[in-house]
Amino acid sequence: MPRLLPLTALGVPVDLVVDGSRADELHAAVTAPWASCQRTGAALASGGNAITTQTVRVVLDDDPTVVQTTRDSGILASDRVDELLHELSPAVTTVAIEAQAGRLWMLHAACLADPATGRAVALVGPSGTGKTTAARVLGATFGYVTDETTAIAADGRILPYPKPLSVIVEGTHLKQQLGPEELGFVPGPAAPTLAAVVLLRRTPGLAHATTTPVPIAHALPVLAEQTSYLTALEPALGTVVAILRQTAGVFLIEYGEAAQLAAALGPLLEVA
Amino acid sequence: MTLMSHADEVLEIDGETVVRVGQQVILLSAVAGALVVLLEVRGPLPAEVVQTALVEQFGEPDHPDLFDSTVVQLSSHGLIGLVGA
Repeated sequence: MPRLLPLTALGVPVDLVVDGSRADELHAAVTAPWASCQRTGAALASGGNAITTQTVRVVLDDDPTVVQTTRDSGILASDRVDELLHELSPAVTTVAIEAQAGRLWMLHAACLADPATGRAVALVGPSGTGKTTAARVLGATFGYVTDETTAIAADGRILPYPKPLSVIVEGTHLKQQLGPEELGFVPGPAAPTLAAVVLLRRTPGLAHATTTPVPIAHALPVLAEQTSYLTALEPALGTVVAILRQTAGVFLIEYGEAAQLAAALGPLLEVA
Repeated sequence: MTLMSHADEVLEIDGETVVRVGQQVILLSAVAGALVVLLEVRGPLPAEVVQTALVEQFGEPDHPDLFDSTVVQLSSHGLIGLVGA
């Protein structure tokens, strides 16, 4: 029997339908890492419009024929739990981003927040530049909002997506999925708002993190490269600039180790 | 045809001009100053040819990293060429 796990991702209701001969096993494996994204009430809509519930199907089955035919039809399927967990995260993220195209500024960024004030910082960087590592280290100090895509409404409101972290495991191409609860993260605020945007630059060997303001005009080419569906926003750059004007701005933080970031982020979250 | 004629969006931000062509966003001063609007499209040119010519004509760019990536992308899309090229 299929099992249902209702999630919210970037404000989008996503029904995760788990199926196959080992559906119960997969459902149990998915529940813990995705616990922070489980949907308990109505999803937070943006722009005053209700968002259609999206569905992601995933099948765990020992029968290779079932797996192959299911995959051929475009549905995630495997006989391995770790493989499905690895593929599930981008699948959920993709349907959520597509559903919010044109509604939100969706920045490829990790996001941490002050749980008391809701003020949040988006940490921007291409894949492989340390976002997940930074989120993993900072999640013990700041409220965890997301590690991958920060979705921001025109009024600066962030729609949380506290998904599992995809952590590289030695000896395999599959990334392990670790839920924020499993990692002991501080829960993020229910209604975070963007306080600043940070461009991360890791330079091994630096003894201290340094913070440098970046003019918005200079930051835009970089932010555009890290934005999903930029051209669906109307106006595209105008929306981004209007959001940034409500914040303390954009900052470049150069650091040696992720542990140095907490001290650098603190002042940005305190800016009035 | 100039770069500006391709623009989907042009913003003046704190005294600087930012142009969007599709997903590509260009800070004009990162390329070679506002003189880039004088460049005409003459079909795709190798990025290194455009880079070398721009530097020779206008001097070193204000933002070398952005300059390189911007020129490469614009060249590949045929959105930048050289007057008289």
